[in-house]
Amino acid sequence: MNQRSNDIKIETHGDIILLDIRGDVTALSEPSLNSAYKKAKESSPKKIVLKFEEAAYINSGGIAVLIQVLAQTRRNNQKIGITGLSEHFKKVFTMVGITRFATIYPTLQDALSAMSAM
Amino acid sequence: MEPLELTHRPQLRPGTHLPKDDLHVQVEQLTASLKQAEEVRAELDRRIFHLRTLYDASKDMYGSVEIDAILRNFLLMCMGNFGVVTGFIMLTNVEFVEVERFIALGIQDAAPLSIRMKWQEIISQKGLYESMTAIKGMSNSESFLSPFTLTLPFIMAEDTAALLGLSAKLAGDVYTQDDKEVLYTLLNNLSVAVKYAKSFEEIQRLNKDLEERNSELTRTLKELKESLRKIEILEKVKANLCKFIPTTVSRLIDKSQTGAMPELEERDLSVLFLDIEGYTGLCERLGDSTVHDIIERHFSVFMDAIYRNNGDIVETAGDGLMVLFMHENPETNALEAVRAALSIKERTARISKEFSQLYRPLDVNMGINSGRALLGAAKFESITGSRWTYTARGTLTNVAARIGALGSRGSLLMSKTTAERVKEHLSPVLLGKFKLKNVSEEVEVFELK
Repeated sequence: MNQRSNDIKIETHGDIILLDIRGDVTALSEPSLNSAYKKAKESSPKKIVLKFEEAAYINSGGIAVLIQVLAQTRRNNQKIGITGLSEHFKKVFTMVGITRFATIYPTLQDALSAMSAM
Repeated sequence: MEPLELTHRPQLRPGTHLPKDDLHVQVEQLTASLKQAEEVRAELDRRIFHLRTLYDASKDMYGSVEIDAILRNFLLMCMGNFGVVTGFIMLTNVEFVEVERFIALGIQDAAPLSIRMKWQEIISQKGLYESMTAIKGMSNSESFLSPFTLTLPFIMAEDTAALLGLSAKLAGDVYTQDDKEVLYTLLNNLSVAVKYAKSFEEIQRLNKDLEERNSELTRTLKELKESLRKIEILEKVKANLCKFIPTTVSRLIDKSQTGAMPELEERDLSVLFLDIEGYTGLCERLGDSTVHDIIERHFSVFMDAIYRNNGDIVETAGDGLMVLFMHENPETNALEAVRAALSIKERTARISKEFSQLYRPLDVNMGINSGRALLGAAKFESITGSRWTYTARGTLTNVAARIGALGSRGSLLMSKTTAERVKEHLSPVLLGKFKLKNVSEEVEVFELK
């Protein structure tokens, strides 16, 4: 399978920074994810939403990269929401314990609403 | 891996009327079955995810030929598969008992260096295999590996051992035997990928080495071509210079390791002096240019006769030649000199018909002497430069020249020594004793008709 390259858009929604991640997430996503998080961190946000494409493929390498980013958000006392996952990857994220770091929301609107209220 | 199995099997049949208590029991059974089905489904998802990881890891690892990139991908795959924040993979060279690669993720500050150094210290003290055995029984909470819940030592190939360390799972559950089997399968794949990558590195090294050698060869070839070009120029110069120097000199220099001029030596040889009689008068009568053509043609023919008899022209004048015959055998060099002279006489008569200006063949007088003489190079120095000659010097040469000067009408004269040497083959006749210029005693002179 040829991996689709990542295109990560950074948007601000009130006090929330949204990282809109396009493309598959694998070990190869490490530089772009780290770079996007570094850029997002510049405005010292307390809340970050990671939005994935529902059709995106996320493998173990990509999950490890995400865990590394999430470990940084924990050190920076940032709240993380995740949305856009397929049912399969919701189960995978729960299985590997990512839900200990972040909350999974069904839609972006749900994520923004819930996190705005925090 | 252990097989998945449902232990609760509901006995409910469609359309069956059950008592209320039975119905309650059936609901409980169904609920338990559903819960178990969900657990089996979760386990199935987990195993599918692990299988997917194995597939992706193989694909990613074999897609690269850089060992560090392979190790990093491998570690990310392991950590993502089990939801782990920190981990490391370390490769140790078995032969040199030395850590050769170390990749760590999620470990802060100087901790990775500390782990690497500690492991190097242990294997240096205890030996690699003993250390790997010991680490299996080591309680991680008490060791330098305390941040890691799971450490797996693994022999990858004859020359490499691996140590994988993973921290506790984020999900909180412990590593099962199934988990370890998945990790060992991943390590097996890593072993093959690293082996390929090492082979590739070796091929690259060899290629680089080959390129360097090729480049060196190209440089040497260029230098050789340049040298060859210089040699070709020198050969041309030499060929041109050889026209002006005796063949013997050319051969002696060729034979010399250093190309130096041969030293003077005393040796046995025969000297032939040749002189065109009436040359000056001929020039006045026919003109210099015509005489030049006639002489050039005659001398060309003479050269053939001389070379056929192994003679070497060492000096030339307008109307004369000095030729040396240097065969080691005294009789042979004398015989070759006389035979060359006879051949010159015969050829002179034959080619005279080519020149209508000549009433009769040229009178070519020749004198031959044999014996020991000083042979070699002589250098004449002056303030304007130096000049080298190669010739035979001494009484022998002087007498040969004087005998030649006695001749007239194309006579072939020789000393007694020469006559003695050739008498078994030819019949020279004694002309008498002659007083020669600058020679104290009279000399017996022989003639060969």
